Amino acid sequence: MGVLKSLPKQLSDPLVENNPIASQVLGICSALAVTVMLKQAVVMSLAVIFVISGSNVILSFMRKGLPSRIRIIVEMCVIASLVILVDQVLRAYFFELSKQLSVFVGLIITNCIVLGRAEAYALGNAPWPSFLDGLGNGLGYTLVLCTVAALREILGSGTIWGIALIPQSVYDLGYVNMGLMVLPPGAFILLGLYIWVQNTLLGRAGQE
Amino acid sequence: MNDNTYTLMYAAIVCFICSFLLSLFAVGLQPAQREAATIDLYRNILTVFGFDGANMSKENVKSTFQNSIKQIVIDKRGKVYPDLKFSDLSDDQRCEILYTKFPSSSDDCKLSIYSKVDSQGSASAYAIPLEGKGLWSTLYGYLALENDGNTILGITFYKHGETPGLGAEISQPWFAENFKGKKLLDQSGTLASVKVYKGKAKDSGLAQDHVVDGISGATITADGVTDLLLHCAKVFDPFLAKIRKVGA
Repeated sequence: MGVLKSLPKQLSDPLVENNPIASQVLGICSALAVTVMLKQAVVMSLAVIFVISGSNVILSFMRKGLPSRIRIIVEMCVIASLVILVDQVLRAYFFELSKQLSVFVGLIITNCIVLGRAEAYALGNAPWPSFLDGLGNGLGYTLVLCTVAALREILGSGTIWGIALIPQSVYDLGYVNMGLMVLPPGAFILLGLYIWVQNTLLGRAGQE
Repeated sequence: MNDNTYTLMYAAIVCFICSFLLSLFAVGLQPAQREAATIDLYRNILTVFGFDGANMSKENVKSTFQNSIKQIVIDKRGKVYPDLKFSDLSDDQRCEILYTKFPSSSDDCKLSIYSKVDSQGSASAYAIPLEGKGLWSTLYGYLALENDGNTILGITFYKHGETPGLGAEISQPWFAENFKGKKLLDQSGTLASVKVYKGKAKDSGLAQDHVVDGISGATITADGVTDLLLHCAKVFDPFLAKIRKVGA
């Protein structure tokens, strides 16, 4: 925790204390969907980091002239443009991964973390802190996504990053991959456990 | 400037900048996207013929494809046109394979198939295109047959929009693996195709040559695969019948 203290608050706060997934329980949909394999989770996380920090910076620059009546529409417009950009780049240079992630890249638009940070932070703060806030929230998302994905891949497929982790001899002895972990309920259970562990460590257990 | 005019102007400018930048990127990235899609298609065709397509480098995919795969143009009656190139044909000259559209496509429309050729130029296997409806989307793939026109060598789905983890499993190696060695024709020589059974194939009570394991949670996608296999086997049957004669 000592290292975290030395970071700017915008960056460190959303990692653990105010983690968008584990504390605020936002962005659950993609956390459940793209955590079967670590590789997909990492690419998804990078895409989300880019979109949150990008939209936070752009909207922070725009905040003074932005008419409040069309605020949400403009935010969505900026976020959607960034997401489409990511999707196009993935299709051009990471075709295989973009096929695997399919609709979930496009669905970053509807990820409430992104719009949430734009509304709650970027519209009221200068570009640099907004960037840090976006980066922090993106990294917080990444932390949960990758932890869940790594556990699901090890337990569900016996691999990590696509490389076999459990030797064939263990399978020969009768070990079977845990099919539940490949399916969405596996993600629900792991995410629940993650939140439980985090709340216990932060001393929040049992609080309302 | 009054408030409404300002708001409208602001919205118009935001829209203009966003759409301008996006179209710039879309056009700029198009060549790379086309290239990626072509390589992916080549990779899938190589895999369906039994090459280790998934682990080949881009260059390797291109050169292997050029050396060992040949595209053949045929018509609805199975007649081969050695002088035609499928890429030169316009959309009007190509048959619509989808079963809702196939009957209405013209009689002299052309179909494309791929063959795996050895160094002497003789074909050892053929791949026919597959197209049909799943649950959410149209499924596109290839079915490879040995040169007896009957035994399945492999199957692949390279484009679809099915649910990841459920219907999308049709493009996973384990699903394709089940099809290997299955037969299109039954013992009397009539077209039986292959059924994706809801559950384990061995519990189906059907002839094991014509049934594969289903995917739990993806019954409609699986039924779509069953339907499109039968339909596409029918579409290409005139051609396959010719190969069977040569083989026999």
